Amino acid sequence: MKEPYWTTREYVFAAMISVSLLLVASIEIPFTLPLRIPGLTNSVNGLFGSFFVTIGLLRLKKSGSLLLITGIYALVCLSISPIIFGFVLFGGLFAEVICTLLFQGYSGKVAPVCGAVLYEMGMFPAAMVLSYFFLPDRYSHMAIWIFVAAEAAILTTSLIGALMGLKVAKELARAGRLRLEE
Amino acid sequence: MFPQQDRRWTWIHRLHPFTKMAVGIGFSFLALFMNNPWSLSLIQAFLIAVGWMAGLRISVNHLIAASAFLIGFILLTFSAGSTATHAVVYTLRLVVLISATPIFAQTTSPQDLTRSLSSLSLPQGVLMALVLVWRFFPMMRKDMLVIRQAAHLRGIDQGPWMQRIFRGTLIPLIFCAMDYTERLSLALELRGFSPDALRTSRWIPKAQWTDLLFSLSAIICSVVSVLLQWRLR
Repeated sequence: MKEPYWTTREYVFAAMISVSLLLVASIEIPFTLPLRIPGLTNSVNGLFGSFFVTIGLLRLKKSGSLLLITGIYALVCLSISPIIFGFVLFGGLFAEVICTLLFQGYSGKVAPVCGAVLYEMGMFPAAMVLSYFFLPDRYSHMAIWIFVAAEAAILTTSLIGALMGLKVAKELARAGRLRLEE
Repeated sequence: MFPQQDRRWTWIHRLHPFTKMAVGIGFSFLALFMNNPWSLSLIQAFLIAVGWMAGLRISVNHLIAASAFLIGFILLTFSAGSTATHAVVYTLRLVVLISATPIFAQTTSPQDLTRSLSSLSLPQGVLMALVLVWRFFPMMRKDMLVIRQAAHLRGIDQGPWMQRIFRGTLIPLIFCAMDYTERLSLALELRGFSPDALRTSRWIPKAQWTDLLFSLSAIICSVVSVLLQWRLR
């Protein structure tokens, strides 16, 4: 019998990472969204989201892991809003394509960090398109440097989160809960 | 987002999940292109009527909180340089967007949604993962409260904010997720679950005449709101 690409354990782990992402977003987003500073929500979410995504990718390792985690997360977000579903899936797809082309999977330490950061950065442009529909007067005249500054902030926070994830993954490996290298 | 199992079932609850999803997504996208307050109000009235028929009720406290948030949003939009009409339009658009899909999600059980999704060619493992997310989100939310209380008791919430967040919440949370993964995987494997195995029996919801009726009324509502938008421009 042909071995399935993902094992039960991997599906369960991806589901648990999605629950963690949803949990953190449900606490953080209500505080940051009303402030309406471009990129603030994504920057704060990047710090926590990339932490979990990095650990998830370090555990799953296979090509398509990021799409699996973000796909499950996006499908859950579909019951909140189709727009959230859209930009979460866009971010996941964008990061997955780049990481597959560059690394062919998530072995090592660079690929998971890269995947997590690209996922957070990829969500922002899609979220900006949505913001344009909410406040076209405000976003149509938005200077390009604001967009660049927001992306830089997301890059910084998600990189910090991903590096923290890497650090915690090492502790998990020492505790025998996570296998870092094949 | 996660409906209670003991809630009274109405004909709205019995509609096919894809019908409700299509109407929710359709209204959300329609709202993005509407800039007439009457058109948006009509869509919102339809959604309120659906919620009412489904037996969804909002408590006074939630109503006060939602009203305060919306008044705040109108004032913020107005202060950002918009006219009063624009401020009302943006707020109504936000209300439609944040209520369209959740109203339908509240009337669809995760089991029904997963059964419907199983008719698509999604991998069985993804469907199982979806059920797990819906099942374990409330449990992990409770665990997180316990984690934060424990951190408070141990004095971890006294240090710098990064330390408080990571040491006090996120690291225990990831250990909690790993714990659930271990236990669940073992339980599933012991029961012989395989993500790629063929299912011998499963029930997939089918569309009925009520779905047709509901879709028709949603289409009529959309057409009238588009006409209002076009006529009153």
